[in-house]
Amino acid sequence: MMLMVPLLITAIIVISLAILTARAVNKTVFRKGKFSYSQRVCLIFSGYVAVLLICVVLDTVYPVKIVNEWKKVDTKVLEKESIDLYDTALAGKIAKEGSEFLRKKWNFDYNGKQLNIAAIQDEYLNTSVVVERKNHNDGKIEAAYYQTRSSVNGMDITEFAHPPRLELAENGLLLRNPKKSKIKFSEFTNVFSVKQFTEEDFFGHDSHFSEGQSILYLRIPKDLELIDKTNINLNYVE
Amino acid sequence: MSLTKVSLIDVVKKQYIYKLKAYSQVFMSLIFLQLLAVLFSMNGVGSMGGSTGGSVELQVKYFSADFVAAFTMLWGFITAILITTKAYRNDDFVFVTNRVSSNLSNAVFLLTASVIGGITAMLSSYLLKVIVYYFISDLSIKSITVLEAPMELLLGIFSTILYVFLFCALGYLVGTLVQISKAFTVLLPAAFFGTLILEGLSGKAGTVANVFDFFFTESSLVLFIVKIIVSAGLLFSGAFVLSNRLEVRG
Repeated sequence: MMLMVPLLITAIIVISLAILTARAVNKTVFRKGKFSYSQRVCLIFSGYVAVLLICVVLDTVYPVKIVNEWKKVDTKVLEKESIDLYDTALAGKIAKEGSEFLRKKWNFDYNGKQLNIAAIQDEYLNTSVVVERKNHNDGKIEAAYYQTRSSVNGMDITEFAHPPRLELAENGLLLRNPKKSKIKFSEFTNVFSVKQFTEEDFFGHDSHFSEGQSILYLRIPKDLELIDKTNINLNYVE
Repeated sequence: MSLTKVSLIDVVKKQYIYKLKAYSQVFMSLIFLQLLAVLFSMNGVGSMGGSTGGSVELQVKYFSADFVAAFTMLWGFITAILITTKAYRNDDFVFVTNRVSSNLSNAVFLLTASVIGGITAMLSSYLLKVIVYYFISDLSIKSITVLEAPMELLLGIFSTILYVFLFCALGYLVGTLVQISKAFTVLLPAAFFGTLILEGLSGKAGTVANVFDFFFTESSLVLFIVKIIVSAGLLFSGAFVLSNRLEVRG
C-alpha cells in the first residue's frame, strides 16, 4: 500500500499537468501566428521537464530497492565448494563432510530386489545422483539432497532454490524437478557517454551467475539392484 | 541602404531569439523521440538468464538511457539539416541579415538545442527508472540515485550535450552541402553506407570505425572536450564557408 502512494502522487501530478497543458493549448489555439504555437510548445515542454524532474525526486525519495542486504559470497569459494562436494559424495563421505549443504532427507522402506529409478519424462534433471550401497540389507532407502550455494553478482540466492521431489511409487522411485522460483532483477547502468569516462564496459554488462552443485545421495540396501529407466546417469560411490 | 548601423552581435541575438520561438516545433519532436526511446528501453538494453538446479529461474535485465541519448543525437542531426533548408533560411530575411549572422545564430540555436536535448536525455533515465520500478521489477542489483553520484549525472549531461552538438554540426554541414547541390542527397548516404558495407566485407576497421573510436572510446574528459570542440568547429566552419556559395535570395 505504501508503494502505491508515490505512484498515485505521480499519476495525479501528470494528469493535472496534462489538464493544465490542454487548457493552456485550448486558450491559445484560436490565436493566429507562429508564436501562439511556440507558447503551446513551451507549455508542453515545461510539462515534460516537470515530469522528468518529478521522476528524479521520486527516485531520490523512494529509491529503487537494492538487494544489498542479501548475503555476499565469493564466487571462487562457491566454485571450490561445488567441486569438493561432488568429490566428497563420490568418496562416500558426504554425510560427514557435506552436512552443511544438506537440504532435505527422505526415508523409504523397500524390500524388493530391484528398483526402477526414473525422472519424469521430458524433464531434464539437473541433479547428480550418487548411490552408496550399505554393507547390509536393512530394507531401507535413505535419500538426502545436498546443494551448495548459488549466487548472482556475488549475492547468495540459495534460499530460492527448492529441493527436487522424490516419490516411491508402485513402479519405482520417481524423481521430479523442484518447483521453480522465478526471480526478476533489474540493473540500471550508466549511459554510454558516462561509461567511456568511468572505464566501464561499453557494450557488455557484468552479471555473474554461479550455480550450486546439487546432489541426490541415495543409500540403498546391499543387494538392491537399481534400474535406470530414463538415463539419469547414476554414479556409484567408489 | 540604412542610416542605422546595427552591430553583428545585435543581429545574431535578435535572430537567435526569433529562432528559439519560430523553430520551437523541433522541441516537440525531441519529446516524441525521447519518449519513444524510453518506450524501447523498457524492454531493457540487455538481459541475462539462468537457472540453478532447475529450481531457480533468474532474469537480470539491464536498463540505461543509451537509446534516449542515441535518439537525441539523431534528433540533433536531423534538426540541424532541417534548419538549413530554404524555408527556414528565408526566415532570416525578416531581419537585416547576412550569411555570417544567419550561420552564427543557427550555431547558437543548435548549441541551445543540444543543451536542452542533453539535459532531458539524461533526466529521462529517471523516468525509465520509475517506470521499471513500478511496472516491471522492483528488485534491483544496481541503481544509483542523484544524491549518491551527482557527478555522474553532471558528467552524463555534459558529455551528451557535446555529442548532440557534434551531431548538430555534422547535420549542419550535410544540410548545407545538400542546399548547394541536391546531388548530395544521394551521394552522402551512398558514400556513408558504401563505406560501411565495404568495411564490413573487408572485415577491417576502416574510416567509420576509426571515427567512432576517436570519440566514443576517449576516456580522458579533457581530450574528449577538445576533440568535440575542434571537430564541431571544423564542421561549422566548413558549413559557413560553403554557405557563401549559396545563391543570394532574390
